[in-house]
Amino acid sequence: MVAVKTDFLESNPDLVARMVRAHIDADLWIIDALEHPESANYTLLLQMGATFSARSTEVVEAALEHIKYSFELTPEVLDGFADFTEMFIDLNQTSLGSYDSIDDFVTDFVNDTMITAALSVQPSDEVLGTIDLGFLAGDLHQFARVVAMNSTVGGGKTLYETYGLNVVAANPAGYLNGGAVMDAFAGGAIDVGYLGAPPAILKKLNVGTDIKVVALANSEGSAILAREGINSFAELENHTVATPGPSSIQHLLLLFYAEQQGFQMKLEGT
Amino acid sequence: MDRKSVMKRRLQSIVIIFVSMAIFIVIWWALSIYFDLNYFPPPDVVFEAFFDSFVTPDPNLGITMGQNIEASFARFLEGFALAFVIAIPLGLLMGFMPWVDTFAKPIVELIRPIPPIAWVPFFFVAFGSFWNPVLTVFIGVFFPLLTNVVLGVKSVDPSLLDAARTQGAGRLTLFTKVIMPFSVPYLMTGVTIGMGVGWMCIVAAEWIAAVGGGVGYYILVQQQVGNYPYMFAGMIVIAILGLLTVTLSGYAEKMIRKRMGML
Repeated sequence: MVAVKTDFLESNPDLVARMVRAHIDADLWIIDALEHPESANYTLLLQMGATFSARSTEVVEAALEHIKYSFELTPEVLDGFADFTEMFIDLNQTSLGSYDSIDDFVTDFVNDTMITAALSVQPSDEVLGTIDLGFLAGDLHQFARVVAMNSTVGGGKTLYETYGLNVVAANPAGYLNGGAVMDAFAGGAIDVGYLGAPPAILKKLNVGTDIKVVALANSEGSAILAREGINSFAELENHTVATPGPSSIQHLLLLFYAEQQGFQMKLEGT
Repeated sequence: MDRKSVMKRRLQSIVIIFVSMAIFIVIWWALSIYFDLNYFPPPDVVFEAFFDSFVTPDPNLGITMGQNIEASFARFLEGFALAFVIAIPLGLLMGFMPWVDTFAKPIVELIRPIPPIAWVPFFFVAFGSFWNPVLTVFIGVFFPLLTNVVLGVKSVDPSLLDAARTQGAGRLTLFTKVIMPFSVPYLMTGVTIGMGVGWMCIVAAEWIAAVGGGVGYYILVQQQVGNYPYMFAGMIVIAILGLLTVTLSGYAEKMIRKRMGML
């Protein structure tokens, strides 16, 4: 998803709307390319993915089959945010603090007006402002960011440039996890960031890092990779599993699914 | 100095230490209030988290701070032991036999400037999450030990060697009865330095992964989920562990020097 620091959003709503517009255009470009595997755009998409994720085009193609790209903050998406929040509360990872309810929190967590505002944005030849952007290292979920930064897609200009934005990557190699992106927000290093919902929820509730979700980037696309010979979740029994960290969506989903399947997870060596 | 003035001076030091700690805590408090950042908690919140971390198992790790300390400490000792058994014989040989010194020195000097932490990504992939922190501590402790043992052997008073020789000591006897005992206090200096470096290494090495938890891993996890009071609690634990081990080893070093008449 795309998140913006709340004070940046309040003082620069136009820049944020432009950012969201570039994101939407990139998203639609990806969806269109995926629907036309014979097109030049599809080939370009795979090449871009291979370059920034440092994987082969075959790996990127296989990954793309499982990721659903969309930008809309639908009621289902908001329900998902509420579910994550509830899971974290159940896991004793966080509490609602001053929020009255989970819905109350989700309402404060999301700002869906930027998507509407983005639709009326016009291209600009003039540079209207600079945005410091943070994102995760090699994460195909955040493909829209890569596409929006590619000048071939925008016809000699990046999509950000098309909408009058000077977008600067605060950490060009990408942050290691969403927790780090949230810290980049808190430390003032970035104005806009691509990250997963769980770390954003945790850090907003636990640390009060003030951000708003202005668009979705993807849903689904998290997978468990296993050594050869392990072909089902049940076969993971007594094996060691690694995740991108306790605040990641992968970690949360693993905990949730393991419990649902009647397994107990514990720290290796304890 | 008579007993009374020694007591007086001790009391003075205690008062000064107390005042210095109080000022430290007041500055910390003032800064955290002034900046009002949620990720910079005031001392009372951190101390509360510190005590709680020993009682309540962490929701992510399922273990208490005591168990994390145990895991880190075991790793610390393993790395230390490994450094000990390799650095001491090598250091003695390098100090005693010039050709060994000439042979080993270029390699040692080439590897020594690489910070132990820079090895972490390689150790993790090559040796796995168990050996990675152990080997990182090993690297951190190995070089201060080695250089101090070599220095110890090279600092042996030539008149001691001559005296031993005139009494008929052979090369082996010189080595075991004069050189080795003489270098012990130097070795202890290396141990004290290594104690400090070892804890710095273990925190960073556990940041990728750690089997059975660990204080470094604990700090990282608290950062990721945004539990900053507990992250600072982990930092305080490392400070206390470092302080304890360095003080103990410094004390042992002093005792040994005293016994050997070097003070």
